[in-house]
Amino acid sequence: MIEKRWNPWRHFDYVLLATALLLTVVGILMVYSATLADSPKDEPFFSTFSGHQAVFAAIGLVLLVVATLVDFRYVRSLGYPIYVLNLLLLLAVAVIGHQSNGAQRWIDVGFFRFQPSELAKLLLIVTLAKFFADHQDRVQRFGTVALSLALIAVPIVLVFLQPDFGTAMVMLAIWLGMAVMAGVRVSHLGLLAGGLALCGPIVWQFMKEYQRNRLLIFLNPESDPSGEGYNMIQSRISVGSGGWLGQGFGHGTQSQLDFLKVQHTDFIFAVLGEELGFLGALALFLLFIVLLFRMVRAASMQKEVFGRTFAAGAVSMVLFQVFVNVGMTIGLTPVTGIPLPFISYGASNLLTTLMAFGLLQSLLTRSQKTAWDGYASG
Amino acid sequence: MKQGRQLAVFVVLVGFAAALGARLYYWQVVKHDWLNTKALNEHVRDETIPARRGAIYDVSGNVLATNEAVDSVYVSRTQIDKPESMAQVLGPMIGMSPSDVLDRLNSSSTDFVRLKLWVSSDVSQQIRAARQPGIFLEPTTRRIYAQGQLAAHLLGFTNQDGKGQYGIEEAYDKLLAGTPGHLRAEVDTAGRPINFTTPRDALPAQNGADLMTTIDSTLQYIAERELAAGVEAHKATGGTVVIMDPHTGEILANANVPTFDPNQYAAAPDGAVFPNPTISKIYEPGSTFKIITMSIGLTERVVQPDSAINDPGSLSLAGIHITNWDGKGHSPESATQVLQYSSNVGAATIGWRVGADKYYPHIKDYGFGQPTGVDLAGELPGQVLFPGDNGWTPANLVTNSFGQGIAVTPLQLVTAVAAVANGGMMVQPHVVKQIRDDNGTKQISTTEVRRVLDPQVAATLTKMLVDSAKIGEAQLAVVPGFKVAAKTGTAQVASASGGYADGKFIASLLGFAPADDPKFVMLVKIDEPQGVPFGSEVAAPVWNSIARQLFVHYKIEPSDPEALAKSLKPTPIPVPASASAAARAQPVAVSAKPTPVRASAPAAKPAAR
Repeated sequence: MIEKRWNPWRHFDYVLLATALLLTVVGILMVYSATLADSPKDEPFFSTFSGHQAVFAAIGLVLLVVATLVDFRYVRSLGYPIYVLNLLLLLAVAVIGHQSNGAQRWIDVGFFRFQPSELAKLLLIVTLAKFFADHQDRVQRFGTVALSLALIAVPIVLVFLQPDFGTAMVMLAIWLGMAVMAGVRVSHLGLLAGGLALCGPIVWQFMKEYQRNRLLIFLNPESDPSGEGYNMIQSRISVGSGGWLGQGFGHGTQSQLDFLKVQHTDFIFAVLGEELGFLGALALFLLFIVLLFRMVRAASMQKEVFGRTFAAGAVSMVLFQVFVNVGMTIGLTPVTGIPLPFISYGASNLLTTLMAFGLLQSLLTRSQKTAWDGYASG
Repeated sequence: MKQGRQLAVFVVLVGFAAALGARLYYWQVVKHDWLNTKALNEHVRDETIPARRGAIYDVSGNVLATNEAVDSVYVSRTQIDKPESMAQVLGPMIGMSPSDVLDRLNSSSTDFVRLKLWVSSDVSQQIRAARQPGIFLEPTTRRIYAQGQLAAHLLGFTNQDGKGQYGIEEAYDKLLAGTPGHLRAEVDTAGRPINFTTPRDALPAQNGADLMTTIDSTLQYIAERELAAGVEAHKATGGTVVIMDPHTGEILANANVPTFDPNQYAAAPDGAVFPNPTISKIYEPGSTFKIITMSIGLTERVVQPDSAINDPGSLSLAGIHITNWDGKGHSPESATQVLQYSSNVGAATIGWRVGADKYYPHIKDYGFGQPTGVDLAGELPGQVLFPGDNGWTPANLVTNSFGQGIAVTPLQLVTAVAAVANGGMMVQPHVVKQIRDDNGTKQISTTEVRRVLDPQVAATLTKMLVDSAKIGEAQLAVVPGFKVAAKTGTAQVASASGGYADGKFIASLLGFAPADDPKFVMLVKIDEPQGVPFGSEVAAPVWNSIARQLFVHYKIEPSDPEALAKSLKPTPIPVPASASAAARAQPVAVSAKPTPVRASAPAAKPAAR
């Protein structure tokens, strides 16, 4: 069987797109429910949180289509300029950034606040993919691994200083996933893990007081029920009161009566857990599992290192964020400001995520691996 | 290699999903009930709707106790900008000096400070008009005793928590209090009730029951007035009057001195004044107890009204030597004369003839040594040594026969003699006649406890008491024209060191009338009168003057109208005029119109401490 003509839509992953869109819709609905009590009844839809989120989704969809149409090879060629852009954006935050809740993470761009650290995750994936593609013959060397680590160290430190401990951790997870996919030796990773463990005390020194408290309170939330531990206890109560089937969409008392804080952003999973119950949460997990397996499938279909590592980076990003976000809601991981992909309210996160999925489709549609395999076997 | 890494990715994915799923299952399914309860505790507030406390009425429907809407004044320390100026404005309104107000604020550890319990509605209006921020008026109710001091010991009072103390208020506290209602509302984090999609559910309050008592305010007033006069005339330390319907056990009146105003119970000098001495204080009944001994003697047929009894004035029996109160002998005297002269020797002889094994079962049947079961709080059982008890000797039988070495409550004695009056049936004394609540009216019927006397014996004893009273020690109690059965008592007061206190006596008169169909049994007891100690001279006149007014009040026809008419002209009623006048001068309302008690000093001075 010989390939007659390259059909760009032949490898387009409709399941991946559908799952991503479904999750986006679930996100808009959950933001709607989480902010129901805060929104006046006569407020026009597009000035509510869920209205905003819908607008972000529409923009994100446009970005997804654009990214799908862009040839990934062009993006790959921009790998290092993108890295510079990334650093400039993060530096801009430090200089002209908007401060909120004791952290400087945002740049005001008029109709919304842009959070460069969200975009930085995607930009870092592109740069790292380019790096591993360029160094694929030397990837077994420790020097290459160290260099890749040095590459991400700069943005990680910048993000860490904002301070945004969560995103720094996401970046580390992204690097790990990509390094594994690029074929880095396991022994090298073990060596680095040991080194990281030694760095722990040093990181502890650089952490802000509230970050340390969060870690300590994570271990025992009841030690500070009205302060830092408050939301951990409240989110556990919210999730727990959901039971099997939940209290019904828009009827979660803890979320609606404002007992739960930051319920439309970091703790939106608690709202879902309370209102849709255990089965609702499992349904959400199912969507994420389908999404992640389609992403792993996309990675395995890539012939080139760039595509393979890029997909791996995207998998790491989504998986780590879902795990840590849901985990902190149910007391499995410390509280960090990591949003739940697709679901949490926020433009930067949603746009970045949708753009990443556009680039994945660009990789899939232009992948020649299956064609080559077909040719070879035929 | 590459296959291995794909497997690793798969394992990581599944591992993460499993960890989240398991944890979620734990919280959402395993721990659901626990966390759901925590959630409910947070956002559902249970507001209590207070129940109205039931009112207490007298036998004709006059209000004895009811409620008044009042406010309590609270201040939130955090909501006050200038405590000094607030204290300047608020202090005078609630009768506190500004510095006292500030002291109270500064000494409190909580935000909300109660400055004043129960202010009147005009003070509430003043406070509202002042429009000071941080001052709160909590609407509440306050118990009002419409007749002031009247029947204070029977009623008791409610403390500042609204809990019944003493008397009817304590005994019927649960019924009077009712059941508070609940209003469940969902609240937000600030505790504001919100009307969210779930409906509120409410449980209305069950108001307390109203009580109709057997107390006759007119009679109660008469009894209190005459007792106060008698106590004052003899410079006594106190006294008690109990008037009971012998057929039903209904307590018609019960006066005690000293007494208190339940509206201002906190102003009482001493908490010892609160317990009702009629049920909460025991004393040695003395000669009034000879009625009981005589009834036992008649029942056991060891004596007849005209039996001759040897009375040389003193007697040695069971190792002790007893004498008559005046040391005089009346040998030979009839059994009736034993009562007439109030002979200790005679009573002891009768008791001795009965014998301990027959005497004491009757004592038990009469209810001595056990509470009567009256529906009032704080009743004592009295003290009786029975054969076989530690300390009992045959000498006890001798002294018990004339009312010594045995301690009773006034109500026990009245209840026992009521059985003589009604033909031999012990009835349970009570003060509440009717309980009315939302479900209807419950009538309290007469409880017959047991028969203690044959009607024949009761009739015989009644006649003996009437005959002896006419010419004997109790004659001052007798109202001419009426058949009065009565017996005096002059008991010594037991001292703390054992034996009797020197010069301390309790004078009493116990009797019933009209003897043929008794309308009432009445005990008048005067504690430690100065000068003459005798029941015949101290208690009998009080008994007489109450009985006189009682006959008029109940429209009881004299059996001998001529004797009554004759007595009214030449002989004035032997009531000390000055004391009586002083007592009458007290403004006590007998009508249904409540006496305005709020005009007097603030009720809760110590409570506000």
